[in-house]
Amino acid sequence: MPEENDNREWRLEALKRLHKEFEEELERESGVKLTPEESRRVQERLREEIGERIKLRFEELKTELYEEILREKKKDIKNAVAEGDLFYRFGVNIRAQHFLLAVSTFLLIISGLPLRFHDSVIFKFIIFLLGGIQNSTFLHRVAAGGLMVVCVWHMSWLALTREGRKEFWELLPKPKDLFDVIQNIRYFLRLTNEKARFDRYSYIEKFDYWAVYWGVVVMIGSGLLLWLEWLTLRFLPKWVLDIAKEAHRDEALLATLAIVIWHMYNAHLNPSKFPGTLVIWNGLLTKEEMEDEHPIEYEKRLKATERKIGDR
Amino acid sequence: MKGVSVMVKSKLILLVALTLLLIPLFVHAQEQRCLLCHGKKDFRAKDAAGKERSLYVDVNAFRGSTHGKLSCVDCHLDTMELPHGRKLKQVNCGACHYRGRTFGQGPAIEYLLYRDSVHARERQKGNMKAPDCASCHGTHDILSRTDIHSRGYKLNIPEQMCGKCHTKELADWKASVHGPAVHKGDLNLPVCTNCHSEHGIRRAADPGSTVYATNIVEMCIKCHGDFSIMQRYGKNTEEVESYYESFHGVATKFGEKNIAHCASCHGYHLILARDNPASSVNPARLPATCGQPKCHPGATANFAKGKVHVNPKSKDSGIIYWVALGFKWLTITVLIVLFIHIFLDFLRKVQERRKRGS
Repeated sequence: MPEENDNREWRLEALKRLHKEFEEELERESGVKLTPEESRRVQERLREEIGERIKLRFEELKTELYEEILREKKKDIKNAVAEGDLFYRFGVNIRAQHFLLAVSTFLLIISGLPLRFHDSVIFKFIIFLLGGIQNSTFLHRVAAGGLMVVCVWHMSWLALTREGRKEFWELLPKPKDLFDVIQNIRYFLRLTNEKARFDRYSYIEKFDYWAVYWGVVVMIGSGLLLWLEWLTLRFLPKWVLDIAKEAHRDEALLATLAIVIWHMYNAHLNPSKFPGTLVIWNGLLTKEEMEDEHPIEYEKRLKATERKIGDR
Repeated sequence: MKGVSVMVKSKLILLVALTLLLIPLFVHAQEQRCLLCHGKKDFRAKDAAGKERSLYVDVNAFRGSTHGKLSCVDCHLDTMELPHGRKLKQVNCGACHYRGRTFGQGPAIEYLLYRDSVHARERQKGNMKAPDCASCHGTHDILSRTDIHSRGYKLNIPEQMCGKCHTKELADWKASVHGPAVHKGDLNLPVCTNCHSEHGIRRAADPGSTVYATNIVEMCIKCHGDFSIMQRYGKNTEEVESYYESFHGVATKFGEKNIAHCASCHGYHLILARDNPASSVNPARLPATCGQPKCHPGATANFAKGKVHVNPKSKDSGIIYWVALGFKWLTITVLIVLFIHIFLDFLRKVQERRKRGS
């Protein structure tokens, strides 16, 4: 580790200098000259005490500098947002929800799909990597817990926060979405050169969002019936469980394909987004992205800022 | 050969021919010498334990056996003089039936398989009740397995071989759907060796056993997974496919042994038809079968409501068939729509890009 070595060399250098100064001062002020043995002891104590302090101070300075740099970076972003070069799209809460949802779904897929395609070598290998069927089924339940947490979290977020209620309103399908679909198809077929102009959420994103509702209701509903099969079978006949199983495995495939194909294309493989955007990590969109993908929201936001400035 | 007269020549030829003709007679004479004692029906002796046993050999049965062309001393190799004074050693079948054999039917691995079997291990431990070759195959009267009078003939195996010791299993098997009463001479019925293998029989708890928890399904599907066999009995192979699609089957495939396999529900030797009230898979008894302490303790009558081997692809499955069909078409429709949208979007974006580039 070159960095650490540099650090140590630099500290030794400082110590040597201090040691030299100390001996010179001692000689100048009291005329005492140290024997080599004494000089070595002085050097040792210096290294023990001052060396340690230098190290601590260095760590302190390091954190301070880090924080300062981060603060400045944040200030830059804030400035950019204030000036309208960057736009906040997703808050921390919504990003955290998406993160937990993505991780849970990924784990559910890799631990669940092998059970459907049990003859495939790849899926057998995945189960082997997960440490056998007992581990993979356990992991599946843990990830299911994660998914359920996201659901409760999202529902309470929608109901309890102003941000949530606002987003829910924006996400509701509206007649405009239908016209957008028609407009976009005309655009794709080159019947017009005007793209559909989207508000905060396009019909593509709305489809993604509402598909999760359907998927989660089917998957968690049937999954819980299967998970608590001893309880289910106390009250319901076996064929209900059979339906739950069939629905679970079929919807699993549908959801996986929808995510892999639709979400992957729209968020990653799409030529205008390839290889992906950072919006789901830092919540930021550039002005160009905003103008291109959400022109109506862009205009609204500009007007709101103007109004604010006007009020002032 | 000019000096030798024709007379002498012909006499020589006659002598040689006579000698050749007499060889079988000599052999026969040697056999006759053994039979001087062993051919008597009341020839008996006391063994070491003081138990009297017959030493009579039925020579006609022996001549008719697969070893009928051999002579006594071919197997009883330690016969040095006649009459032999001491008790002869037990015949070692491995002297001929060994892996490197180049005569007869060629290489034989039965001895090696037997050596690792539960029976051989028991004998090594000193349990002499466990069978060796002769216990199952007999001694002088061994017939080819294709002979219907042979002990090794498929339909004779349970009664004349295994069932001599495993009486309970024999009785269970006879009463089961696989028993001879149901099949009446049908050669497709499974006998002991079809599942347990022949010479290398292991304990069920031994992972090398053919009836070990993760291997036993393979035994059942030899027939129940073969449509050409099953259709003769008006059945199909749906049960096997649906088992493999069920969680029980998938877990078995991934090597889990604490999970239901065929025999966990249907039983081992006493497998009965579903409509038999005594059957473990009769709807009335299903809760008890599913509710085994290791499986689903406290199982209720709800376990029996609905098909057990559900095949979502078959219309007989009722609502499950419709659910599966619905999801199938939902998936296809959604994917087609999504693909079209993606394709058109991609095309248009690439075009825009080219336009901007030029």
